Amino acid sequence: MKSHGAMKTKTTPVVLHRNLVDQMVADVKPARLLIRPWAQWLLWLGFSLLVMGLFWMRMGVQANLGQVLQTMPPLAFIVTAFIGACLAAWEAISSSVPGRQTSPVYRGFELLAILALFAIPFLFFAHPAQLNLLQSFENGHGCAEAAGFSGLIPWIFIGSMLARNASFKPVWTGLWSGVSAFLMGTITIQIHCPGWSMDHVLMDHLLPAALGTLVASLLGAFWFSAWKK
Amino acid sequence: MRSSRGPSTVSKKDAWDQLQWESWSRLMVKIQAGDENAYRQFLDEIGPLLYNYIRRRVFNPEMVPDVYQEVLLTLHKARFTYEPSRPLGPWLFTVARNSMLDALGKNRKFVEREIPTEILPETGETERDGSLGDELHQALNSLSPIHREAVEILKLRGLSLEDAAKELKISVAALKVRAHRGYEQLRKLLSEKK
Repeated sequence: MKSHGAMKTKTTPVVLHRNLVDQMVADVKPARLLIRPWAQWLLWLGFSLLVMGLFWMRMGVQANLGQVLQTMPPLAFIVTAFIGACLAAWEAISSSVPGRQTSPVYRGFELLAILALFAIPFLFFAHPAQLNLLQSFENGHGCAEAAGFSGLIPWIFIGSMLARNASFKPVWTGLWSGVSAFLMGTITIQIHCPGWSMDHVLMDHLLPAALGTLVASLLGAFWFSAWKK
Repeated sequence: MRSSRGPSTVSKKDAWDQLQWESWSRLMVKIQAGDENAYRQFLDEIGPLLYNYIRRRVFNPEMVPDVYQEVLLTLHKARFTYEPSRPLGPWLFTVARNSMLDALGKNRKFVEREIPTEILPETGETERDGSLGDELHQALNSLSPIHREAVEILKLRGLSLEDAAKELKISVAALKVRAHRGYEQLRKLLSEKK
């Protein structure tokens, strides 16, 4: 089909319809197949776990991981982050396939998972004697970088799948793709890093996810609307 | 005054008929495989449905053809996203609704201030001074509840007579009478103010 604007004509509805149909039919060719949404989700999950595994192979995991994950707050944090990422990935995918939109209940549950994730460090992790968030960020910027980078790779992967779909809400799709990918980054670094204090987790493990999500939303506005052009 | 909204060429009941949707769904599968005849048949059959869908939601009749073009072009670009194992209706109307909103978004200011032409007096006076919107709302509020309800459901919400009657739980004939009286009162009120 030629350019979008070139096809526009001012005429009666019947003639308009006829002209449009002629041009659309002339342009019809076997359409590329949509990867089924659940298959996209499984691909995202598989790829994200692979990236996680590679990062852990390279960086290692914290020495007493088994013991740490037997205590409730760290386990709850990891599980909530994983659930949040999985829900967010499905939201991103379903928002980019017409007729697949999730229900308000689903979105409410998703939001609840994200809120719970941010609440856990405040409620259950050790609070420093003197809270200095900037200092925490400076001390642990290595974690932040690793969290961001390990989230970026899954985001590029899920983004390349989403860009092949047809999102009518590219910012929304970008937002949830960012949440899904960068929360995986948070999990990656949380399994590696033995620091479980509130300020460190917030500034060096969760802040990169929040910033990455923001950037993903902005980039998504362009990337995920490209199919319309 | 000429009405821009005639009776639907495809009624909602027919459109939602399961067999028809299944037939369109099969056509979509052929379209995805590149079948030109199936595409032409599909567009010819679905065209009136989409045109009416848009016409009921876009107040300015002049914008309807442009929006219709946008919707069909978007449908063309998004046709690969239809999953044959799923019902066609939600897919089709998601594409139609969103592409319609995209098209209207470019004219948001114009659309939001739009007033149904069927109930405007045929004069340029009130249009020029820009006070018609308020006058119209005041006049609408002065109508009795049943008449206002009839005018709003038909002219502001754009429902067909059948659908509106069903929603109000009255007969089509009764709705026509209520709407007619509502229009008469509106005309009278607006011309008095003028």
